[in-house]
Amino acid sequence: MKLKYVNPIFKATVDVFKMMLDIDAKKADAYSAQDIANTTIHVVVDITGDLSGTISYAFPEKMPSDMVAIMCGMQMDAFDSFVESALMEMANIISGKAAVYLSADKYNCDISTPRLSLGRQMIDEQNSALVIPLSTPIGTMGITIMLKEAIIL
Amino acid sequence: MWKDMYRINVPIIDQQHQELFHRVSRFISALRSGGHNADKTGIVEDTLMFMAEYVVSHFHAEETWMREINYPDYIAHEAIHRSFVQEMQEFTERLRACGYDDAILQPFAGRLLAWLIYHVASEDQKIGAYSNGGRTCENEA
Repeated sequence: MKLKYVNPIFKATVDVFKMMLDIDAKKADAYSAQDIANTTIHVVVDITGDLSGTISYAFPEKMPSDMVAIMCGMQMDAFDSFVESALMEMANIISGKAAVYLSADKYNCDISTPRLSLGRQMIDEQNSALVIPLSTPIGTMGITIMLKEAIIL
Repeated sequence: MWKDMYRINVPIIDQQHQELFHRVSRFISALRSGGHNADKTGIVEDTLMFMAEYVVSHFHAEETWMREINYPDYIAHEAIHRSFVQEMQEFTERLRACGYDDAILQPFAGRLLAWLIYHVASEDQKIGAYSNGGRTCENEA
């Protein structure tokens, strides 16, 4: 997968985490089997246009509650509809920013409304998915990028 | 909820942002308090009325400031404001129609929280950077 469309997605995620949570997210060295096993909350965004496919943001169970707790300064005990909605909006913001960064590299893309998927998921390596593990002080998340360039006839 | 990093160093705008954050924080606190819906209705109605009036007045002040400094992204920023006001109106109508049902209120509050923080921490910071001498914005870079 080409770095030139992976980097804008990574940068958008890091930038939004810094802006909204004042958290420094860094690329982790590895996404361990334990990290994958802990990941049960997935937010998926469809991409269409010059690139097509999906970006999926994968979180361990407690991380979205901790993210929203940082935002509102209140303790969040569970992944409920309030936390879910704030998380979906944040995924929408990250994806929108990624689309802006991608357009600077001449990839014009549209993003769908994020959708939630709960439970453990297998990473589809046969479809050339690239997983970027992201380390933060409140947990390790993964960005799964599964994109291909549109074929111009 | 308010953090100093959200300041754009335009005093009138910063003051209005702090008031917005204060009201949204109070609103979320009430929603998360776990009481009966009837107990929350007062503060929900109060916040929705406040948002309808204060947000419009704040957006007007911010747009006046953007025009004063010839902010290059004025049109895009104003469109974001317009879209938010419309969404708030639609939500308010839905909430009133359903008697402030928690199933609609909680997701509304979550989205409002994330929207407000991002807008002030990102979009409005560009106005601050431009008005305080940086004179660049993302779309020009």
